[in-house]
Amino acid sequence: MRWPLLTLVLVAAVTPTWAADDLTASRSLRVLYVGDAESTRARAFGRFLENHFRLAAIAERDGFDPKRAADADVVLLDWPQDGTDIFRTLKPPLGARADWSKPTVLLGSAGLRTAVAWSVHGGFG
Amino acid sequence: MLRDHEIFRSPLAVDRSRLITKPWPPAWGSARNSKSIEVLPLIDKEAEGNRPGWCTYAESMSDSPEVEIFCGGVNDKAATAAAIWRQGNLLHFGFEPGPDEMNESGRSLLIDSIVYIARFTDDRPIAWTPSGMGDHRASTRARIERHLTIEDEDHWTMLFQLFVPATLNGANVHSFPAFRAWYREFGAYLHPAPEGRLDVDKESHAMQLPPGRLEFFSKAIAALATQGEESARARRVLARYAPDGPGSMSEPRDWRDWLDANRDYLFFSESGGYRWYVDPLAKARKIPTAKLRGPARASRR
Repeated sequence: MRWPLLTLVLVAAVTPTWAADDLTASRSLRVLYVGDAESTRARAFGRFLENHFRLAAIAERDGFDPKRAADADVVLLDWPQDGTDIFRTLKPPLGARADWSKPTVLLGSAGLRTAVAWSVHGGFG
Repeated sequence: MLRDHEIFRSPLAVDRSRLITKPWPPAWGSARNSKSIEVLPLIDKEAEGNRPGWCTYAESMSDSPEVEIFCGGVNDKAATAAAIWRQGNLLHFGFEPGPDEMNESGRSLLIDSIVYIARFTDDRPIAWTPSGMGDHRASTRARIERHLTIEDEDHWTMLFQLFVPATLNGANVHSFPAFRAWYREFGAYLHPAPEGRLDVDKESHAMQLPPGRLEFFSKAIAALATQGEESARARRVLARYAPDGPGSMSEPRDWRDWLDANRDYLFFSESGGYRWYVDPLAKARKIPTAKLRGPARASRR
C-alpha cells in the first residue's frame, strides 16, 4: 500500500456526530503500545494514546513479556517490515498464538508479520 | 470499500464528506464500471519515504466466521484487498503512518478501531492458515476461479502452478477449456498436496462425497458402518476432513454423536487446509455459526 487512502463504494450522507457516552467510555480503556519504545514514532503514539485513552505503557517490542499486557484492555503492536526475511522462523513479540487473548490492533505490517508467525489470516497480500 | 459499519460511527463518526476522487489504480487491472474511485485520505500530504502498509487478499478469508472486513485502501495489489479488518481478537489496521502523520480522519479511524476491538475479549482466530507466500499454502477455489476470468498465457501459467503438475498433465489438461471441463468434475474434491499445491482426493471422489458440503458427514458415517474397503475409506476421509472429530478409530455412533453436538457450529475452510473446523465461540454461546457474525461476536457492547 502506498498512499494510505480508503476506497469507498458507499457514499452515504452521514452527518458527523459525536457519540458522547461512547467517548467517555473509551477514555477509560487501558491501552498498551508495543514497538520500538525509544523511537520518535513510539513517542507520537504515546502522546496520541494518552489524549484519548488511559495509556498503560509504551513497551519495547524486543524481548517483550506478554505478561505485561495483563492490565491492558487493548494492545497495539507496532512491528514494521525491516528488510529481513519475514518468512524465516519468527519469534512473535506477543508470544504463542494459543496463549494470547488480548484484543489487539496490529499496526501496518505488524499484521503481516503476526500472520506469518501465528498462521492466522493476513499473510497473503 | 468503506462499509456502512458501526466501527465508522463510534466513538467518532468518520466524516464521509471529505471524500476525494482518485484515478483507478493501474495495479487493479481494468475497471469494470468506473475509471476513478472515491477515497478518504488519512494523511494530508504524501511524503517521500512513507513506509508501505499492508493489505490482505480478502478472498482467502471469506470462509472464516470470525473475520469481518471494514474497508480497503489504495494499494498495489487488488481492489478487493482489505486494509482494516478483524479476525477474532486481532484487528488489522493496515495503514502504516503514525498519528502525527495522519489527519483527523486517520486519527479518528484509529481511535474507532481501538475502541471496537476492545469489545472482542472472547473471539479468537480459528483456522490455521499458513502464509500464502512463504509456506506455500494451497490456494482457494476463489483464486482458481479468478484466474479463469482472464484467459491469457500469464494466467494459465499461474493457474497451472496451483496444482500438482502430474495431476493436470495426467488428465491431459493443457488449456483453459480442458481445465474447465476437468474442474467441473474434480473441483469439489480438491485437497492440499505438498509444496502448497492442490491435488484431487481420489478417495472422496471415488465415494462421490464432496468434503466441503455438510452432507459429507452423514454419508461418510453411513459408509463407515459398512464393511471392508468402503468402511476403511470412510474412516480415512472423516479423519482427513474433520481432524477435530472423535478420531480415526471411532465407531459410527461416536461420529454421529459428535456431528449432533457440533453440526450447527461447523464450517469448512479452504484457506485453513480444506477441512472442517468447529467455531468455539458459536458453540459456547449455542448460536449457529452461520448466525454469529460481525459485531455479534463481540463480548461487550
